Amino acid sequence: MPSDPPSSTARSRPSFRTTLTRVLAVQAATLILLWILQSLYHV
Amino acid sequence: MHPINWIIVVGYLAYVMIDGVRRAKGTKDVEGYFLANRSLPWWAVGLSVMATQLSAVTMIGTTGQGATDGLRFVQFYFGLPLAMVILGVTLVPFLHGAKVFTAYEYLERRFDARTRSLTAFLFLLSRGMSAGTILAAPAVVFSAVFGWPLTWSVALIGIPTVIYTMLGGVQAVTWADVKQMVLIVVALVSVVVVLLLNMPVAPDDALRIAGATGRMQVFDFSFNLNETYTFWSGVIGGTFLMLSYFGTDQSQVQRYLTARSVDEARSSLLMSAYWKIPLQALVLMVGVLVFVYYQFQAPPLLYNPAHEAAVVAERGPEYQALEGRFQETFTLREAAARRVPDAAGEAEAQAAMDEFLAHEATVQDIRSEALALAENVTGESSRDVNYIIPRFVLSELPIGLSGIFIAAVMAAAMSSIAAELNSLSTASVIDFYRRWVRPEADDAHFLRVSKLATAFWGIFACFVATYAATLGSLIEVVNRFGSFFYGSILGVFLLAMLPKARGAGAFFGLLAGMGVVAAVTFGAPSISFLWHNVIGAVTVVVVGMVIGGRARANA
Repeated sequence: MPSDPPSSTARSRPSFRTTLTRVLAVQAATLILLWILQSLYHV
Repeated sequence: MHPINWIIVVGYLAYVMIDGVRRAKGTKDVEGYFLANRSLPWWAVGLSVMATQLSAVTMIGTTGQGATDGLRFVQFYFGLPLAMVILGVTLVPFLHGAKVFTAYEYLERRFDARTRSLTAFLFLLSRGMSAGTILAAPAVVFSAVFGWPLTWSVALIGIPTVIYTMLGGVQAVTWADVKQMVLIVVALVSVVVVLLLNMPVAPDDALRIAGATGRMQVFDFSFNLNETYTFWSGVIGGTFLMLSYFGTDQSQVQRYLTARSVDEARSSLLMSAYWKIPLQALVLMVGVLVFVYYQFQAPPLLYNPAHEAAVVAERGPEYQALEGRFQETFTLREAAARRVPDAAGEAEAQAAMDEFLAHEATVQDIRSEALALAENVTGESSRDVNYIIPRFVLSELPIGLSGIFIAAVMAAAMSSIAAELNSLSTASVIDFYRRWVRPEADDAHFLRVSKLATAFWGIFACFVATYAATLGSLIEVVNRFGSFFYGSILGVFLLAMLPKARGAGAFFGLLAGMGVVAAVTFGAPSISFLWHNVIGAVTVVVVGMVIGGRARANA
């Protein structure tokens, strides 16, 4: 008998490691964006 | 304020109250009242964590800080993502897995009753007062802006919050936080969009003007212990502060103890790790754009309308003379600002910018004179920065959006106060009443006492907020006292994770940590408070391990 597909709840919640990777990526992107803003406009 | 704006504000207040009372029906026991039977989804808990941290001070004071000081303050939050990740793999599994109601309850299991009682007492002392000051901040501004007695403003925010928190418990607090957080973000984004649409220059030129006045500086890499906001104080001191706040402060710990599982509790904290810095940058950017907007639209000389009225009444001619100079210089500054984007070449643009900066310096000088006059007349610190955004919202935003923003300020205040009342009640009942007074009573009794405790802390917060002006020095003492033990309590929790630590080490380490931070505060007052948490936590761990080692050797 084929196994049940994973529930939608399980699929919608990423693992801790995946979330951690995304957190670091978002922080890096945010800091780079802020750095670019400062480089472009701060005198 | 326009009637449509009032309808929005009243509609928001009514909805929050009705929804909170509706949620009371599902709360039948103490675990449901304080922890929602550990059943809440991670995204709701995550939004509640963010809403608890984001108070009305953020909506009014931090936006105002963006207008006067720019984006630098965002560095304060640079340690937050790292702290959330550390907590996700350390304290969160400990606390969630221990099935405790409070963080301090865990300390008795790990160490002893005196360490639990002392940390819980310190929490009640500091958070009891801070709930009042969090309520006082927007109430004082609303009173000045709308001309109400302070008690009305306190009641308008405080009474609905106490009612839904008391009746609905943590269920009402969390689900109200979710809606309040959405309202806050919608209000902030809408204001940025309206500002950009109404700005007479292109966004690029607006940011150039902001940058020329230093408001686009984000990073300060200097390693100066006396400077509050630097990259290093944010990353190192900020990490310890956020570890203390999110890891050991019951108002935050209780949020993620309501999550369904350890994994969902971690994910709820990581939501803040994702969004806190971008959100804080958005909050500050609102202030920066308001500053630029007021380069093209005449701002009031004093933003605090109560102080403005007092100065006009007592020193009218002097103030009018200042206003005349202010208007004259504003016109010259505006003309120079408009020439910046219209300049034919780089040299012409630079000349226009130099002229703009010269007039901007004169405007700031005139404003300083007006602030000194206001302080002289009223006898109190002007805190004009807290009135920049409220004045802008009421006079410049379109009808409807002003109401949404005022409702969002109330939402920010209510979400923080509700979480504090809920956690103060939990610590009072679980760590003291159930532990020391009536350990044998049944669940129904504790549920009744918990609701009464919430009401008590709500009334206490309203009292502190109403008398905040006269209690000013007392509140400062309590806040300063609070800074002594924030990092030290973190040190106790760090000790709890070390297998060789013992109860005596934790208790006396906590006392030593507080003592050292007090000595640093008074002995070297110029060291930024962000470093106090590092000093306190390290002292507790070192002293605790030394005492623990001696105890083991003697045994």
